Amino acid sequence: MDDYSAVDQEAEIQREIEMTSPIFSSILSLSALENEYSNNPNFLRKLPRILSLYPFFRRTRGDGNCFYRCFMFSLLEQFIKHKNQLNTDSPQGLMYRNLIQKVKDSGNWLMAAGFDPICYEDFIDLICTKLETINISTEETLSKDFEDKILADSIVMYSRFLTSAFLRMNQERFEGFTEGYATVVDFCKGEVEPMDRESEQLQVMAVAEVFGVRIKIIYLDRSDSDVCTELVFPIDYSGPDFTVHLLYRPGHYDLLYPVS
Amino acid sequence: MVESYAIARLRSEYRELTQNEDTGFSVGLNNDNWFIWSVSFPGPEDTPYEGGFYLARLTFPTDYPNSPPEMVFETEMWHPNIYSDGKVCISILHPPGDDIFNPNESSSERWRPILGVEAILLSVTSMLNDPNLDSPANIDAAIHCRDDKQGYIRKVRRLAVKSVECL
Repeated sequence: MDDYSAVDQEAEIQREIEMTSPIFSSILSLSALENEYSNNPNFLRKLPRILSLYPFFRRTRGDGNCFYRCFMFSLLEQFIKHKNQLNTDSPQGLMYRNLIQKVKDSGNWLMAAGFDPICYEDFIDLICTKLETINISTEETLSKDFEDKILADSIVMYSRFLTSAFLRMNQERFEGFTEGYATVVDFCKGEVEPMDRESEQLQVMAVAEVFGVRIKIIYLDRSDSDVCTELVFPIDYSGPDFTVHLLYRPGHYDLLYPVS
Repeated sequence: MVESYAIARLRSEYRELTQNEDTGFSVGLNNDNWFIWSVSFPGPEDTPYEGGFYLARLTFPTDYPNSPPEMVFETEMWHPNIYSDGKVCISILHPPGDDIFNPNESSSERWRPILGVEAILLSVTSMLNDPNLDSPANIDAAIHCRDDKQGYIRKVRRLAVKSVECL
């Protein structure tokens, strides 16, 4: 049947993406984008400012899950970088202990949002273990860890569930911002809970708030201006001085590394 | 190596379904393979399927619940949303990608990893008596259902009787 072959074709495209690009590249010089956009003056014009703030970046696989994966990777990578401060009151230490507690408590959250524990218990265990044994990972092995589909998919599914739970529990706040969907719940079912659906501002906001982490996004788009939009979530953040930096190009997120 | 999340999840769902007798669904493993389940259930009451007994096979992908399983009836079926080879075509079994199956199907009805086998079986049993004629998998059955509802129901009844005789 035609339907079968359309499905096969989609799966084929998915497999091709998986074969050809790693989940996370090594850390690259952001100036690589100057070549990539040599024919695109609107992109080029914005690059010098971004380069002055972020000399390096990491490319990530573009399969619709990149936002959630980048977010969690950045957290883990920053914890690894500050391994010896995780028991102190450094921003990384505070964030690390907050996060473990958050993940442990998230079962209650997810249950309150109406999810069946069968769907998330294993993910909570896996992510807690990953966090608690973070000292055995290194910056070099972390991107290899994410090539393990079990860890990478679990992290994405778990983050999606938590994002959905947060949006569902704050429906009245987000009502009217779910483009294409009549209700927040429909939006969660169609855009947040399924794998491979891209993330827009609403999901970014939810992740920042539900995990209690500041996320800064630099938008690189076709607009005329030579200043790129920079957004920070949550707006009223008051936690430890700890930020996940992301580069957004239409439909895709990569990880940015600020000048240290 | 961590155990595959698919097997861990399937094991939990299996335990829950086999312990909970109220669901009306029976499940079994095929040769101890966690990725192939046999499911059976009696035809829903107050429908032409009542009195029948239905067998199907669920085949799970290795990245379940990231992607949905496939469901194929082993019992002979005559239904607009079931292919002639028994494969079930219903939105909950479709990943939420592009609208390759049916542009009328909203993404919110598609597969999501927080759903599970029980949700699938509930959707399928409710679909039996409430076919979706907009996206038929079996066009002959869809035309039959639309143009000769009584004849269609008689055929479903005959197959329901046959389903029990075949056991």
